Amino acid sequence: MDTNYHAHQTPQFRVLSDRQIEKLYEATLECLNRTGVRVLNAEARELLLEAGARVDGMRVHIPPYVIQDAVAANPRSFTLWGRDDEHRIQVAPDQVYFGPGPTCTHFVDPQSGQRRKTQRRDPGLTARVCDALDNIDYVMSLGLISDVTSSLAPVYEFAEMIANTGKPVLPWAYSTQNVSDIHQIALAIAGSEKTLRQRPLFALFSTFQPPLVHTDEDVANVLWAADHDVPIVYLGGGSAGATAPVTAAGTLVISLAGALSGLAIIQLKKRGTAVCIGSVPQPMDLRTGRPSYGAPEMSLYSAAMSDISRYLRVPFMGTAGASEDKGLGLQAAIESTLQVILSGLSGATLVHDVGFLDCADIGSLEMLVMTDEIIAMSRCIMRGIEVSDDSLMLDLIDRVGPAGHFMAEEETASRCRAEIWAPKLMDRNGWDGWKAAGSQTMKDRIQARLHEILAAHEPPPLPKQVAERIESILQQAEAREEAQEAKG
Amino acid sequence: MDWNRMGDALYDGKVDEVAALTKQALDKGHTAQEVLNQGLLMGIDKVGKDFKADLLFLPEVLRSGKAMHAGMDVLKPLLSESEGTALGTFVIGTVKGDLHDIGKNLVGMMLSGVGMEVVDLGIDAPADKFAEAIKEHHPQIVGMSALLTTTMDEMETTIQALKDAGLRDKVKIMVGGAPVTQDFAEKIGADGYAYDAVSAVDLARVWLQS
Ligand code: B12
Repeated sequence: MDTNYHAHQTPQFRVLSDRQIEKLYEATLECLNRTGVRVLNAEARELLLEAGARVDGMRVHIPPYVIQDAVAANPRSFTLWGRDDEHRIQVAPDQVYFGPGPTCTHFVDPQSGQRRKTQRRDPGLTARVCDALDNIDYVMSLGLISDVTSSLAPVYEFAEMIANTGKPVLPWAYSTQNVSDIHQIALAIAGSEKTLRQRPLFALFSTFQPPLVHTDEDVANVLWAADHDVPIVYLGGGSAGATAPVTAAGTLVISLAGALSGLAIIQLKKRGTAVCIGSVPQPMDLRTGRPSYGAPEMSLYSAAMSDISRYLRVPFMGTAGASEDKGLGLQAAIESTLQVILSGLSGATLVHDVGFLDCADIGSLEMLVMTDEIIAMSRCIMRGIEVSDDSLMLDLIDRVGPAGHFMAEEETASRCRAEIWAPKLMDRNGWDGWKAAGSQTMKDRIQARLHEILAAHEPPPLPKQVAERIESILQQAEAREEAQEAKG
Repeated sequence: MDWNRMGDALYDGKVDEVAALTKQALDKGHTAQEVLNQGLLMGIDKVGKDFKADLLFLPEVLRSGKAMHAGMDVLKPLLSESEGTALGTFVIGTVKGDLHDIGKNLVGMMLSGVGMEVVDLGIDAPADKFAEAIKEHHPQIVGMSALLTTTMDEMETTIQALKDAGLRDKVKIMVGGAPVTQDFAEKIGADGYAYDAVSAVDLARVWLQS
């Protein structure tokens, strides 16, 4: 037996040394204690005060032990369920899952290919496409619906998504009323409160505001979720040079300080609530001031955040498949590839924003389909190389011998699928074969695959009475909004 | 006076040096108006041109803006009332319910960088905050920023509130933010729209000249 030997080592992209991670964590603890955070929610300030924080107006200075406690209280691993058991995911450091992002103002119409305002059906289409794609593991909406009562948009989004996928869904919310409606919908599907608590069908996606601000609404939402055992993703992240210092290290401190102080609030509300912290740390663009999703630094900083999260054993939400391109072009392919491979190799747990274009402003199903293939390629690399007596195949080599060939051997046939990845979209035909197959470009193939999914893919159907229950939850929400409107 | 030196200091964003050179120019007998036109404005124009030509980056431009401001602070007491406000006062804020402020800050800093007086109302600013600011600061222009579909309508509400308060016609209203469009600006009765900070500055200058 070989000692101290791993037959299977997966490649890893590590950005920070152990000592650097500790220094960043310690700096973050110092920042939270010295500078503190602005907490706009009264209940959260109260919780922090009781735990030992110093509260000065809205400003809360959090001592290190409160943060360290929260990190210890957070489950290192938790399960998110889909409507079908098959698609549950284990949210834990070192697991890597990919999914779309939320709330794009615009959506690329799958029929016309034109950018337009996001419509009610779009999150459902997104969910259906995610459901069909092998390398997309959970669902977010890719669009903020523009043609419904605007304060209810997150609820409609969730209703559309959950009806169109068996995979876990990550909704967001404007208000606790939204979270409560979403929870009602999940209850209608789960059947009972108990089942939903044991097998959560969704995690609430919420954001903090860099630098160092927790908004009233977002905090109220996560407190509500914690109270109901709903898992939470709490994400924010400085834009280097704008909402964070211009240096990478300073930006990481801002990102981590926001995430960990949020984690503390949640754990103080209900110890043991399942939380995945998140961050989209990126540089601002030097010409426009926009946060740059497409920047290589975004992948570098995110990988560093993965390193830190792995050290803390807190699951982390990263970012990939999000381009600054205005349509599905060369830039989108380049940026998506770099992001996917680096977030895969750095081991972010829930990698989101797949399908974004134009700095989170356009949702694109084509981008989603293309990136699915990129994820497949990167998963092939993440697998690494198995070096074992079995995989060295010296007996086979001896049997086939010099000048022989391996193609028709039993081992080759039985293991080819596991060993060699077969692309779905990448073309590897010879010239004549390619012509015979219709001389299609990559974009043609992406569109063909997208339309095939939209036309033929059937997500697990919702039972009729559940669909009716959801419809009535939406109607009640509308009636409530109307009544509130009338009241002024 | 070595206006080039002043221009260079401004270009390099040397705040203290620009203030010192401004004082020096006054000591040498130049009028405040001369220092403004020959020194500061010439210098900041070159910064603006080079930014548009991609030779300078935003943080560098904003530094120059700060230096410009340091010079303006020296000149302001000497410029007569009308000259002092010739560059205009601009009230800007992110409307109620909206917390996005990177773009609003950028617009504010750019305007202030070309010498305008900028009053920043911060984020989540309700209509009456805009009204108060108009009464207090007498701006020529009011700018509103919104990044969310849900808060865009707050711009219309604010304009209506200014009408009700009899303040609408005292100011020009400029709107912006990622989801805002020219059409939307016209629909809600704003006077103009600018898609980024540079065009906001250009539009403000056009308005102030007329
Ligand atoms: C950074 C960011 C945030 C940060 C804000 C940090 C901060 N301090 O501002 C955080 C994380 C806190 C955040 C929170 C939220 N955000 Co946000 N955010 C963005 C993002 C990625 C960039 C905005 C930005 O800073 N751009 C850079 C600046 C320089 O550009 P700009 O703001 O457009 O400004 C320029 C011009 O528009 C113009 N301009 C701006 N203001 C003005 C004013 C005047 C008078 C003029 C003339 C011109 C002008 O000039 C500026 C400079 O060139 C956008 C996506 C996008 N592409 O816009 C989403 C985005 C705007 N957010 C969105 C949403 C939904 C939210 C949240 C609800 C939750 C979420 N999904 O994250 C919360 C809401 C919080 C709230 N109540 O306001 C959606 C909006 C959808 C919609 N149509 O309603 C977007 C499109 C992205 C997305 N897919 O989620 N967000």
